[in-house]
Order: sequence, then C-alpha cells, then structure tokens
Amino acid sequence: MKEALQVRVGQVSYQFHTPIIINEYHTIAGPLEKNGALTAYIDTFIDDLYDGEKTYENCYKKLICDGISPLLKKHPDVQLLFTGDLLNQSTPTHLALTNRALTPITFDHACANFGLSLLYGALSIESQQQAAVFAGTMSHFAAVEKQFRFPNEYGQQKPPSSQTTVTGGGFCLLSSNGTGPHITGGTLGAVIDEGFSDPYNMGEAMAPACFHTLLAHFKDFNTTPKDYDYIITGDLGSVGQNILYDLLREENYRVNRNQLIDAGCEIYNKNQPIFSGGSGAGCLSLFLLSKGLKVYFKKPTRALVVATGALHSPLSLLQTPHIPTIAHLIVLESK
Amino acid sequence: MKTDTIKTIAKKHDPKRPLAKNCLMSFIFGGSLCALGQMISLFYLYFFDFSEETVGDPTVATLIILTMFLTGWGVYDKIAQVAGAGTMVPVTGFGNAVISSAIEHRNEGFVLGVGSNMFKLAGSVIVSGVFSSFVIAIIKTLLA
Amino acid sequence: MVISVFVAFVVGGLICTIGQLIIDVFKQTPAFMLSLFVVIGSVLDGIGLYEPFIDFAGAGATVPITSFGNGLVHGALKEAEQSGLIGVVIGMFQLTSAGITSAIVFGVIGALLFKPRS
Repeated sequence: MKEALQVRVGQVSYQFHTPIIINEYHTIAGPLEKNGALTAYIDTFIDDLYDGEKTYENCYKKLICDGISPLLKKHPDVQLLFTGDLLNQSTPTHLALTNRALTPITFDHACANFGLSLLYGALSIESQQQAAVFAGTMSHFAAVEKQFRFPNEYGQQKPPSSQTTVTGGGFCLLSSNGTGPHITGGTLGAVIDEGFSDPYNMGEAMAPACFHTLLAHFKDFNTTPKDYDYIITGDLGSVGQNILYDLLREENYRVNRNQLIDAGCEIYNKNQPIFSGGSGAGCLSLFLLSKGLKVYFKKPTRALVVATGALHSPLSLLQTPHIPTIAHLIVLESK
Repeated sequence: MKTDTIKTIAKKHDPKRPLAKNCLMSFIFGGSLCALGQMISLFYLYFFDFSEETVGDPTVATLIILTMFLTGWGVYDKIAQVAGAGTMVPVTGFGNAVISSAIEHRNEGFVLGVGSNMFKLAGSVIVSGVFSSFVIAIIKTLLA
Repeated sequence: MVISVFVAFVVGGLICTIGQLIIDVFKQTPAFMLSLFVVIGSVLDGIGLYEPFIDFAGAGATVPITSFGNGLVHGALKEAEQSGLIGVVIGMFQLTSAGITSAIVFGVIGALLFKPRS
C-alpha cells in the first residue's frame, strides 16, 4: 500500500499536496468602501447600509445572499460553505442560506473566520471529502456596532486607536483544478490572552495572537519572513501593524516594512474617518479577493495570509475584562 | 516572549488622545449648550409666566426636543465625535442616550424593543443618582 | 442678561472639560463619568452648595447632568419636610420629572419618526 503523504507538519501546521486553488470569487461592499481605495477592484456595491431592507440585520443577511449567489449559480453542486459572521450564532449567514442546498459551516472566530474558513476548506479538499467548497466572510458596520458597542446614533467619542467595521466582504470557490493562486499550507492558532482589555484598541490585543501564529509557522516550516514576499494581516489596523513589526524585530526576525500589508489599512483612503483602520470578519476577505488577488497575486508570489480575531463579547468583557484573541494563517502562492 | 515586553511595545504604539483639543472642544461645545440653555430660560422668563424656580423644566424639555431632531437626523453622533464630554454632560447627552437607544431598537417592536432598551444607557445615571440621593436625603432628614 | 449667558457658557464649559479629563486622563468610561457627576451633584446639594451655585451660574449649573442629582435630593428633602422619612421616597422624582418624562416621550416619538442611520 502507498504511504499517504504527510499533511500535518510540526506542531500546528498543515502542508497540502493536492492543488487547492482559489478559482472564482465575488466581492461586495458598502458606501464608505465605495469611496475608498479598492473601488476599482470590488465587484458590486450597495448604496446605503439598508439597501432596501428594513433593518441592518436584514441588510447583513442580504449582503451574504448577494455575495454567495453568483458563485452558487455557477456551481450548484457544491455542498459546503465555510464561513462565520459577527452576530449571535451567525444568524445572518443561516438566515441567508435558508432553503438552499448549501450547508453552512460557521466558525465563531470573529475576524479570524476567513483564515479558518480557507484552511478548513483546503483541508476538506486535501482529504478528498469534497471536490470543491465555498469559503468567505461578510460584515456589516451598523449591525456590528449595534451588537458590540452603542446604538448608532449615540454620541460617543471614539479614540484614535479604535477601528471601523468594514461593510462588505467576499466569497470564493476553492477547488483542485482551474487557475488562480494555490493554498499550499496553513497554521492554526491558539487562543492568546496578553491581558489587554480596551475594546477601542483591538490592534494591540490582536497583534500578539498574530505574532504567536507567525512564530509557530516559522518554526513548523523552518522558514523566516525572507521566504515570503508579503505577510498580509487581517485587521490589525495601523496600531496593531506597528506592534507586530516591533514584536517580530524583537524576536530577531528581519521583516521589511513593505512586506507587511494590513487589509484594514488598505481598504480606505487616508482622509476617511476610520481612525486606525478597518476591521471585521469581511475586512480580510474583501481585500484579499479584490486587490489582493487582482494585484499582488497576478505575478509569481508567495505570501502568508494571517486572519486575526478578537473573541470577546460585550458581556464577557464586563465580567472578565480581557480580550482573548486568535489568528489563523494560510500560505498562498501563485506561479 | 514576556508579557511585559509585549505591553511595553503596545504602549509605545497606542496613539495619544488629542487631550488639549478634546478639552478645548468639550469646553466650547458644552459651554455653548449651557449658554443656549440660559438663553432659552431667559426667553421663557420674559415671554411666559415662569419664575426663576420653575423655568428649568421648559428649558430642559426644549433642549431634549432639539436633541431628538439632531439624533434622528444622525447629526448628534457626528458632533459628539468632536465635542466629546461637551455633548455628554449637558442634559442633551442624557436625552441622546435615551432617544438613540429608542430609535436603534424600534425594529424589535415598541414593547420589547423600544420599551425595554430605552434606558439601557441612561439607566446607570438614574440608578446611581437615585440611590446616592436616597442615602443623602435620609441622612439629612434624620439629622434635621 | 448677556452676562448671565456668558457665565453659563464658562461654568458649563468648565464642567464639561472636567468630564473630558475624567474620560481621557483617568481612562474611565463615559457612563462612569456621568454617574459620578450625578453623585457629585447630589452630594453638593446635600451639603447645601448647589442652590447658591445655580444662583450664580444659572443654566451653567442646571443644564449639566450634575443638576439631575441636585434635583433628586432637593425634591426628596422638600417632601420629607412635610411628610417625614417617607417623603424621601415620595418626593425623589418631583423636580427631575421634566427631564425624564420628556426624554421618554420624545424617545418614543423619535422612534416613531426616525430610523437609525450610521
């Protein structure tokens, strides 16, 4: 009998041997993102945060519906969607997929959902359980604001370290044939708590998780940042990105400043009122599936994509003032 | 890596809040709201039958009506981002906390949405105020 | 008249600035700051300082949330003078009812008229 190729690498990493390709993708975004820096690369936009629906939550649902529909129409035989959103029990996702022949597998890793979705989508193809799967995430500014912070009309003053939830996101089709960048590996993160508790500074809470996952990856694959063209992080914002840079330098990993790309910093223009950057489950998927694939992965590239997430809830934060965070990583290569 | 090192690095990159600007803005906006209140009081004193003692009530009601429109049009939160405590401390801030919660939860119905959520932000102020006032008033009454 | 508006501006502005300092320097939440102000207002009235403060600053003292604490204590004490200890419970909301009632009424009207926008 032929020995199966080793998928598990080191402590927490995976190496894929079948080609897992991001074939097709569809992105959708809101009004603020329309005036941002990625306008030319995003497929469709909604004009306001209701988009004809009665509530923000329904609009969230509609965004997911509109995001996945073009892909589902072309590939009606795909069975699984790896995803996860930011509201209770991923209700927008589940409502959006009502009466459709698609099983959602929702994760609760907040903004890290996209990384985990891609990784698990890839694993299910690698293990030959599925021929093709969907993966993707979506977020909606006002619905998330309502759940995690204050009413949208409440007069609060956000400090400069706070981040703005992205309205929008994207979905993609992973399969073992076709053209596009390959997912060749990945590293799963663990829950990290360094004692940060400021919900208006998520960058500092998430940067250590990103750092830990990167270290684990470099150790498992025996690589250094030099081996990759880019390290694309999810939604650290400018604050978290600076912290990550310093943490890597502190650990004697030489990273180039231009090597670090943060989706939260790329989506908006400098003059938009977004404080330290974008965040949310849809932040990384919106960037990666628009400008990311259309610009950075057009030429031969090997990059790490790290999705970072904060795992607190408004209730948990009041009971135990800590923000646990997590980060999942995939290796994305284009030839 | 030690937590202390991470904390030090994180602290270094925490963007400073613009303290001087925030204080100046809260002074200007908060002061203007109080000056507006004084003008409304004077208006009611001169044109209606109110005394120095009772003029506070219509003044507060007028300011809260104003707040309702500013909140409903989506202007109040934009002003508050600049004004900070200048729009929180005056009674308009109390009104905004109540009205914004009411508007936000109208989609959950008028009983369980608006009714139960209206005081979710302003409730803390009422509770702490009533409890401390109760203690103080009891002590004063017993001493008198 | 103009002087009274000016005094209200300066005094009210200063109270708000103290609030801003509590948020930014002592890193407290706005809810804590507002609750603290209400408690300070009721304590000040308890020791008899808030009445002269209103005489001096007018709306500069009545518009900030501190006057809510003052109103609560004042109403309670006024009723307690007439009906004894139980008056503290009866009179608590007597003077502050304008603020609370109008906030509730216009909150409901606001919810009828407007829908949330970001």
